This record gives sequence, C-alpha cells and structure tokens, in this order.
Amino acid sequence: MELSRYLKVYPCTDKPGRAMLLATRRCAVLELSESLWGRVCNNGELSEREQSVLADKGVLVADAAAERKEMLETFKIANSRKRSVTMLVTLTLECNLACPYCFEDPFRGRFLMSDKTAELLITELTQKMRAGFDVKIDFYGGEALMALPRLKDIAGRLEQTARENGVKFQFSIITNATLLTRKVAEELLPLGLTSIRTTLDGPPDIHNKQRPFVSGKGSFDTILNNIKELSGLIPIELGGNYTHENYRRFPEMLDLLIQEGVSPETFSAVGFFPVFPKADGSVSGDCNSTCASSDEPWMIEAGLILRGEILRRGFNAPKPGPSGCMVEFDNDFVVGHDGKLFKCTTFMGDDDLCVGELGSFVADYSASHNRDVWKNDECLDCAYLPLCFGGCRFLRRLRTGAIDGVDCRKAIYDATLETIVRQDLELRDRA
Amino acid sequence: MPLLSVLILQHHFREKEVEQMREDQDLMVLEEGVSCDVEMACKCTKGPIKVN
Repeated sequence: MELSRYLKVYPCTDKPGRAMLLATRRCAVLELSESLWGRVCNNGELSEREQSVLADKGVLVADAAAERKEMLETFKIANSRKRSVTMLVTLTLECNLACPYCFEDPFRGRFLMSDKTAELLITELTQKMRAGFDVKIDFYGGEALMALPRLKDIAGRLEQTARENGVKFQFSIITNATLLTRKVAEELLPLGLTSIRTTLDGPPDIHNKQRPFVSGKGSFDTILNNIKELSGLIPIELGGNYTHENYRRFPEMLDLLIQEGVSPETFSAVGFFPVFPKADGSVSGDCNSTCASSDEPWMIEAGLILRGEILRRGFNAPKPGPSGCMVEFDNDFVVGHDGKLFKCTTFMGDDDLCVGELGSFVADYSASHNRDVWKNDECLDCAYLPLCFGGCRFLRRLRTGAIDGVDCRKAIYDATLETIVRQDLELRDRA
Repeated sequence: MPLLSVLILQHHFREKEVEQMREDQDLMVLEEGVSCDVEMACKCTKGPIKVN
C-alpha cells in the first residue's frame, strides 16, 4: 500500500507525539501516534486493523499513481452514476428587495417566465422522469415567490408526473423569505417542497441597510416573523453576506434569533459569505470591501471567526466535502426566465456563456467554460483537489476577464482547513 | 477445564485486549468522512456567491 497524495498532516500541538490526518477524498479525520505515522511513511509493519482502517479512510491506497489517474475520471464516473437531474429555475428577475450588492443588478427587471417557456421546462423534465431520473428543482429569481402561481403550476404538474413514473420530484426555493408565510409553505409542501434557502445579513440595522424592500423599508422583521412561522415545518438553510466593516457583528443576529425563540435546530445549515462584485464586475458604493478573491487575510479571518461562532451557538455549519462546479455535471443547469440554459447563475446576463435553450440541444461548452481546467499536474498533485476541482469559474472570470485558468484555492485551504477540521471536532454538537 | 488452561486462556485474552487497546490508541478515527461522490459546490444565493 502507498500513501495517498490527497492527504494533509497536521501536528497535534496539544498532544505531543501525535498527528492528525485529513484524507481529503473522503474528508475523514484520523489521529495517530507518531510511531505509527513513522511506520506508515516508511512502509513499516502494520497490523491488519491499522492497514484496513487507513485504506478505508483513504490514507493508504493500493497504487498512488493509479489514484491520480482515477481523479481524472471523477466527474465521468459521477455523471454515469447520477440518476437525478438538478435544475435551478429562474421564475422571474423581478424582486421586492433592492439589495445594493445583488449580482443580478446588471440584468434584473420585470422579466417573468412565459407560459411557453414553462411548458418547455415541464416537457423536458417529464422526458427525464420517463427515462427514470429523479428531478430536483431549486426555484430562483429575482424573488421566486413573486411568481408563486407559476411555481405552483410547474411543481404541481411535475409532482404528478413523478408519481405516475415512480420517480422522485422535490424542490427547494431560494427566497428572501419576505413572502414565505406558513400558509404559503403549507400549500407548497404537498407539491414537493423540501427546503428553503434564505438570507439574513446580520443584526437588524445592518440587514435593513443591505436588504431593504424596494420602498426602502427594512425587511428584517418580516423575514424573522416568517422564519418563526416556518420553524419546525421545513428545513431552512440560512445564509448571510458580510463586508469587512460589519462581519464581526453577525453573531449578534444568531443571538437575536435564539432570544426570539428560533432554535438552532430550525436551520439545516448556516453559512456567511463575503460580498463579491456583481455579475458584470461592478461594485455597489455601499459595499466597497467586495473582492474577487477569497484568500485576502481579512476574509480568511472573518470566515473562520464566523464559522466558529455559528458552531459555538449550536447551529450547524456545512462540513468540507468533495465538491465541484455545476460545469462538471452533465444533467444540471441554470434555466433563465427565457429558457436559456447556463452553468452558473452569475452567467445569466452573458449570452456568450449560454450553453443552450430548453427544447433544443445543449452546445458543447467544454472550451467556453474550460471544463478540464484542473486536469494539470499542479492540481492533480494537490492534496486539496477533491475539495476544489479548479475553484470558481465566476471568480476567475472576475479577476482576469476570462475563464482562462483555475481559481486556485490552495492559499485559502492552507490558511483555513486545519482550523475548520478542529472546529468541527471541538465545537460541533456541543450545545 | 484444568486450572492451568483457564489461566493460560485468560492471559491470552488479556494480551489480546491490551494489544487491541494499544492499537486503538495508536489510531483513532475522529471523523468517518463521506463517500467519495462529489457534490455540486456552489449553491448560489441571490447575493454573493457561496464558494465551497
């Protein structure tokens, strides 16, 4: 057996003579004595159990060169195994909020999905269901619930088709939650609603400045009331967008939720992220600390501090895991309100990155989206490859004007991953 | 069973137990991890992008 190259080794400073391993293909974490680690590294004798555990968790592999080659096939295998289709469906580009940082600013407006486009979507997904695929939709906008009748029509018909074909249909809504009352959620649950994703940008004064209604009125209280009504009814994933100036105050919002009787269990996950520039690269005057890179020192510090505060209060934060861009997944698309297909929501305003249309074929986007960008020696030899696969194409494009290389995340993982792993071990499930 | 055999057996099992305990301490799995299947990284929200 040989050591996998997709492995990080961290010293245990509080436990002399021991080391911690993170096998990044599985994100398994092991602690072992330095004497055992010495035997592992020097092909020393291992017991049957030691060998079996280390192989099972991805620390040891039969052939490291073969594993490297196997990585090249990661998405080919994933696509061949996947029996589900995920569509992120833009019902409207209209929104009742006027967030200064919204990356859709360059192309938002009163654009609703037409009857014809909805029919094309239903037809296409019906064909997939008849072929035995499960279907998952993330309804998206603008504000998706400003097109509630359209959402109900699509979901209702697909739910029935799924039942007739013995496959699963489920949907989530990416929503600002201002219109998501308990009554609306109860109407949507039988149609396949399984979760929602919404956003609170910190405590009320910050949130109301960053996420006001179009009228200028703050939206915090409306969203909080709806979250209270939805608590226990449906899993909620909570996001939030911070700047250099305000990230330290985000934990106040978590405390406020608890004070208001919204328990951490209400949320399936909580994650806060820095404000990035808009889809066209422009930056709102109110959010002047946006950045097209996530490895700036303040962003690294902010991300770690906030993740720790989330876990410390008993909320769940997503664990690192093997993941790749939508570009890698053959059956998954962003559907524009007009039926155009994209591989990222941020590309919706750019026809050069349109990869097809509902009802017609999908173009080969390998070159335009640099699909194999990570298939180079540097990435294939990088321990972080299973977590990254070339990073974010949108961020690369923001930096250089083109998807002309990887968005290398090595610096950010070097600076954060060990702390993230230790946070998970020390803080998770403590509440 | 003769007393000696019992003692030998007990000793044998204690040795096994001690060996197992040593092995358990030498190698601890703190996080089982997930399957090697990759998932979509970016679940976009309306605002800024979630990156991993």
